Amino acid sequence: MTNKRIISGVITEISYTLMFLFVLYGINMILAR
Amino acid sequence: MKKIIKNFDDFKIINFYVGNVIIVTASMMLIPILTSLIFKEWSTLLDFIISISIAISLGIFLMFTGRSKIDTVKVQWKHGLIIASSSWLILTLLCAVPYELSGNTKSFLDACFDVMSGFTTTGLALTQDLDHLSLGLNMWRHIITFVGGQGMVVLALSFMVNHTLGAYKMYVGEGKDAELVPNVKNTARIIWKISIVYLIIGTIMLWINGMFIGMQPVSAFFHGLFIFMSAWSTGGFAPMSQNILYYHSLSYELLTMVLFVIGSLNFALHYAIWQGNKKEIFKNIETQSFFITALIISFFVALKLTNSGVYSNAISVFRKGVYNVLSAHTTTGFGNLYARQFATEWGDFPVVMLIIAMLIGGSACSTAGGFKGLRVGLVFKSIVAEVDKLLNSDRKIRVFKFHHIKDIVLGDGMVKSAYLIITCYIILFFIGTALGTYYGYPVLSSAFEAASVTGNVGLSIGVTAPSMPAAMKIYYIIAMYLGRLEFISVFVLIGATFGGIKRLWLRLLEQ
Repeated sequence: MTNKRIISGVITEISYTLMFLFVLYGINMILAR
Repeated sequence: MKKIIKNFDDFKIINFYVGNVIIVTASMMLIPILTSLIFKEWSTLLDFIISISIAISLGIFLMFTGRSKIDTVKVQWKHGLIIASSSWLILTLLCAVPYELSGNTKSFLDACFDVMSGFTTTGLALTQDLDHLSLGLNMWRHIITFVGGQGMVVLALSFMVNHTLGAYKMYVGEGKDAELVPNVKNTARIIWKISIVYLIIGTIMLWINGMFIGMQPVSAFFHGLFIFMSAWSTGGFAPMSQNILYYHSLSYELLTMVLFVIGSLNFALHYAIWQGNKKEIFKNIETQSFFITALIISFFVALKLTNSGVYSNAISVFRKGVYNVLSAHTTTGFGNLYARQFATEWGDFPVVMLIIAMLIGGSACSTAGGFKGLRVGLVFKSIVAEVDKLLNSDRKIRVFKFHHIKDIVLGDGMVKSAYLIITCYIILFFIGTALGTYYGYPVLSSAFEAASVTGNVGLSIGVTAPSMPAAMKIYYIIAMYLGRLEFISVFVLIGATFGGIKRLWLRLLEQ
């Protein structure tokens, strides 16, 4: 595993997790209206 | 006579590897020793010097007794499974010594409870006066959970240079089965490499965030390090008794959520993504299963909390509701509520949802516990396959596949294995619930705590306390242990122990 691959992998995992959390927050926003 | 010699050979080979695992894991005590030395905690330093001396001496003794057979006896499946399960038990006793010496636990049983809770990444604590614990002991608590998340056998394998022929059998005994690369020693090293990379990134992120919310740099660093180790291992330990509530920070909660969700993913998935296969995250049966179940449970918990007016706005529902659902689902156990608030504020429905989330758990071959997403996905696929078979009985047989790193044909063997493990988890959960009710705790509270220990979660509704009955502490220790090692290796250990006792008894009767 090269350092570039590792950094790219970490960024991918963090960004996808954040996207998932935003989906969950979006649902809360809709429910709260 | 031949059989007796063979039994001793088995015993010696197990001793050798157990000794190896003990020495490597006990060496981790050097970190709290160094911490105590730097921060001049002399009493704690002495506790750890005593503890490491006992552990290393025992490790050397066990290795010494078994070294004669290491090149002549081949490691079999039973050896591998017993090495893993017995290492965990012996290490629990050895690693509890610094707790006991510190005087922060009511009894040695409580100390063992906390160590097993750490190793199994559960996160329930019986240690008293957490807010004033020495830095050295706090470091040890979190190292235990960090090492336990990856596995002590995995740690020992990473350092092992020779005698790695039976390594895979020990690796499987620890509840992991994914081989990232063909060599299991290199697999163990990759697991550690992934964890260390995240350790650096996660600690820096939490450290900076800690300083932003007003903590002193040194304090922010240690809090960041401890919280990272817990979050990544889906552990749940925190340096303060209020757990994540102590920080009162949205950014801290967001960061921990990201870390424990990533921590609950399969190491094979991390490796695939780090190899450049980014689409795997969408195709993998475990991430699909986790996404669907987490979404459904979060939705219903948020709906109930919003409709019943527990929280007034979306951000509060997200910070309290979704945070605790994800913490339960990934089997982390970080909480930003007081334990009794689940029962007194949330009400029954969200608590039932949390119990379901805790039982489902995270991914296989990760730091998480529970049924695991892979098994839930397999069960769902098998139901679909069964219904399809009934609907299309006159046509040719269809082959069902699922995707986990590669396309795999859904076989009867893996479905049977998934059902078997899930059944064992459910039995363990029901016995725990029944035991709680026997001692007078309400049904829902008993079920909540039983799900928490069975799934290695660590969220508490207030049952776990130093004052709870000793029988419940012992059962919870057993449940955490069984849940983490996924039953089979512990059953083999029990079978071998009783088999040995039976043979010895018969021999004594003959004489």
